[in-house]
Amino acid sequence: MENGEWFNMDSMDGMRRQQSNYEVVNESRNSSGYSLQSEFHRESDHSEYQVQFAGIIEDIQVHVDITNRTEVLRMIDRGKMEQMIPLKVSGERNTILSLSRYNIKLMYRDHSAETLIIRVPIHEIAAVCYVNDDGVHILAVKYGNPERCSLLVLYCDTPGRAERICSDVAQCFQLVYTDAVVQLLEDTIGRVENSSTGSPTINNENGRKYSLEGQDNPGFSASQLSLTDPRNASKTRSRSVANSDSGQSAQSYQAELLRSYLEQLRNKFSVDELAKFSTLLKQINEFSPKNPMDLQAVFKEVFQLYGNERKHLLAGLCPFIYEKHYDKFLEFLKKQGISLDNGTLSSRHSFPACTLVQSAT
Amino acid sequence: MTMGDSNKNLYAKMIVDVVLGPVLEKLEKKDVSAAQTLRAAFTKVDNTLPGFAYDYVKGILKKAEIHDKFDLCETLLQLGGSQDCEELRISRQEPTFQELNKCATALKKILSRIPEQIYDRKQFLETIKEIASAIKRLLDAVNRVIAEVPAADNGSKQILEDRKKEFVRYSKKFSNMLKEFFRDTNQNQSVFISANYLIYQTNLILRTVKQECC
Repeated sequence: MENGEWFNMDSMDGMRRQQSNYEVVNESRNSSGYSLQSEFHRESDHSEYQVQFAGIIEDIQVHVDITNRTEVLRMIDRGKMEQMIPLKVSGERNTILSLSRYNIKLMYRDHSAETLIIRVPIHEIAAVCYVNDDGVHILAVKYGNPERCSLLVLYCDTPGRAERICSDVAQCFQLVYTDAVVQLLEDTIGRVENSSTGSPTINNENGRKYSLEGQDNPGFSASQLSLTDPRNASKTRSRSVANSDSGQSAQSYQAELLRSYLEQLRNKFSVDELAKFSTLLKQINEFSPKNPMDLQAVFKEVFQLYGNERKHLLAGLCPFIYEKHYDKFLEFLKKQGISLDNGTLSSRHSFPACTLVQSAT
Repeated sequence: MTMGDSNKNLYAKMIVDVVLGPVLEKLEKKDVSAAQTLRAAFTKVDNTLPGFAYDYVKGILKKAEIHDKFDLCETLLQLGGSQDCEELRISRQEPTFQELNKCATALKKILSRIPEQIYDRKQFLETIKEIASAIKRLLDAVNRVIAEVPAADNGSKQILEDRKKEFVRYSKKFSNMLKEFFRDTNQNQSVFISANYLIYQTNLILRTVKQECC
């Protein structure tokens, strides 16, 4: 891999060697492909790459699997038909992709000015995919929120560059995930330091804890929150803001996560359905079944409640499932055709689970 | 790495728990009296001369010409999760106390895996998440034990609370060492040392509960 990337500054092909932070120590990569010493670990570290900006395809469904080459090309074809991206990309679309551990930025850059096209925080990226379509090197970045995603489509001049970008984004995912795991440990220690009752809490994989009894989380608990009365939701929201102001960022994050999920449900479920949801979630998390099939029966009821049209929202339940039932819940989701991977930060403390992929053909 | 006094004392105490202790337990099956005499002697000498057990074992390793064949800190950490002796087990059969035994063993076992997993980032991160859960479960178990101490026995309650606070202090140090390690992966020894301290603190909790409640 070359050191530094050459890119055209202007239409006269003025060349400037950009400053690049990727003097890669490839030999430091261990067998699982993760660099032991990331190039992005300092706050100021970033890398830049020349790419061509094709466009952004909106309204990508959350469960779409961009590890599937056919799916990606199908979406791009749709984007072309709907004129979200041009049929051919010209030199005017040359852009700089700037990657740091915090976000991806896409910019037009000429001699003196930078124009930001889009900034996507790392934790909002679901997956990055490289597809070689008859010599066209396509980089697709799926990002967004729990309900709807978008697909940022870029073209690279060389496969090496596309693969490099994928690899570097993977490093950034790893950094964000590492920070979250260490934060989990700190949060856990902070919580148990003050705990004297040992009240039951839900442990999910990245440790965003939340107590059904509301003791550790005075802003919310799924069983206590009234899902039917928006006035109660507002009160709870202001309590969680107060928590965050008092410096309990972990608790207010949990509260925010729960609030965000409940907002989605409120938009999709009837009052009776919300009440049933509350009961079923409590049942799952208080469950000590003698017969494991009893827990499966509760999962089935949850699935029936969501129905086919809303089943994509089930993934959002993951952060709120009691640790000891989490694996069973995952299995159940897989059987219903809802697959989750536990690869990145976005899989557990956000909503949909996705992983970074490279799909070069 | 230069051996500080505090690290040497830690190693000595770990050696008593995870090297000498299990060996003496085996000896007890053949000669109870000899084993108990030796145990008492080691404990007395190590209390009088902190670090003695470390010097003793180092001497044996030198004699066997294997003292430079492995890293003692790493090895003690690995042994810390796999070796358990009667001295560190709480004998009371009530569920609260047995749960504490289980949680302590579980945490030590997970910590002892650190040397083999620290260089595989993905695996190591999963281990850290397990450590977080295990610490939570252990301290919840300690809280339940404290809750069972009769109200009149404030002295024992306070001793156990102090022991818990000490454990939390070392947990925080461990978490800080992890942060340092992720900034600079040459800091692996610091992670091993702080994990050893955590195992030692776990054993101290068990000893304290035995002392105050059994």
